[in-house]
Amino acid sequence: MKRPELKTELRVFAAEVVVYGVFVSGYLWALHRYLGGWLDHLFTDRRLAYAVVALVLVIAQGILLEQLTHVLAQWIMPKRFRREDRHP
Amino acid sequence: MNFPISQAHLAPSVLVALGFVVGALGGFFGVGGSFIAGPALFGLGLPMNFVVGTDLAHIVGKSIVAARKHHFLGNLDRKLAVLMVVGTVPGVEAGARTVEALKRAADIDLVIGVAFIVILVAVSGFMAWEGWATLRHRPTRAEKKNGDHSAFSFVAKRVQRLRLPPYVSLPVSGIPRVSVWAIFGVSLAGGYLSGLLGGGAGYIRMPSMIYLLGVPTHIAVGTDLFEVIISAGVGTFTHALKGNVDILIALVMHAGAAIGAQLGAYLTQYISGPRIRLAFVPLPLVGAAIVAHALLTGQHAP
Repeated sequence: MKRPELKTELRVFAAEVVVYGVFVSGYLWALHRYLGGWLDHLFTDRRLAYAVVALVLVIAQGILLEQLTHVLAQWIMPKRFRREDRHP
Repeated sequence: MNFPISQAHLAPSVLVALGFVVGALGGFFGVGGSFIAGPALFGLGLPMNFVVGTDLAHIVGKSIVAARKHHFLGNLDRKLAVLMVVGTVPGVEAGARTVEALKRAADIDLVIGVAFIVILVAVSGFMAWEGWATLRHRPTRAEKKNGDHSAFSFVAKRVQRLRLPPYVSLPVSGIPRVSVWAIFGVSLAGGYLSGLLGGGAGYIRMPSMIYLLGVPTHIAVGTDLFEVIISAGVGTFTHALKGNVDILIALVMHAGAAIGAQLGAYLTQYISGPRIRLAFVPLPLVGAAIVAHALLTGQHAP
């Protein structure tokens, strides 16, 4: 095991969690406030549209949050550890 | 916080924490984690129909994060992943139809619950034996160089020698030739169990890819996540049509899962293939224990 690298990555990860937490709290609040009513309306009246929107939303959030965590990791991580192509 | 679609009142922090745990497990082992998230959501007070659909929706988002992370780490065999979709999709449909048939013919909770326990205990027992035997086995020079070996690799070699055309080569997985039918069989079985028992069925597909096809553990984890996206995506759409998905709950859970999946995927870099497989052993047992508890106490297993 590459312990120094692991230790650095875990420290970077902890910092990332804090920054990520602030972003995500705001995002979830906005999501609930502005999309909650609309999604409930779709769920009740237009089920097919709701199914499509649900799938699109979860895929879009998956890609968006992956990008966000990637950018955060690059921003916080020391330069010498910035390698995405490592393989055991 | 009140979630208007399911009329459930749940704390977002608990949902994010649950998502984080399931995400970390998924990123590390390449499984959806439905056998932990499902019972937990049920325990938090979400109605059972919303448990199944919402869990599937959050698995889609979480698996996208983990699969992309594994892709960057070189753990995704795209050719194998695309070939497996051909078996996964009809498998999910066949499993869902079996559920409909069982609804009419038998006590569905008992039949599916017992099947779930038997499969999970068998997978866990086999992986414990194999992981232990592999760690005790002295690896050859080639195996040492590769960093991943298995005491059960003779079965994968036999499957790879199967004379059943057409054949395909999988250079990313280091497999020079394998019958397309073997890949189709593994993906069909995984999809079927996903449709029958819910979740992404990574607990059966990931070990099958390693032991039957001979895919290295790290690549099996990354590639399995891609299959989980497909099977859980199909499941999410059909359950949403039936009114079983509270997408707001899924999105909140996914916010925690996204960061957990990243941690799990990073940790795979530091642990060898046989040790990842050995660490996987208790997971199916936890799922089996939860289902057994639900059956014995009369709750409906998700």
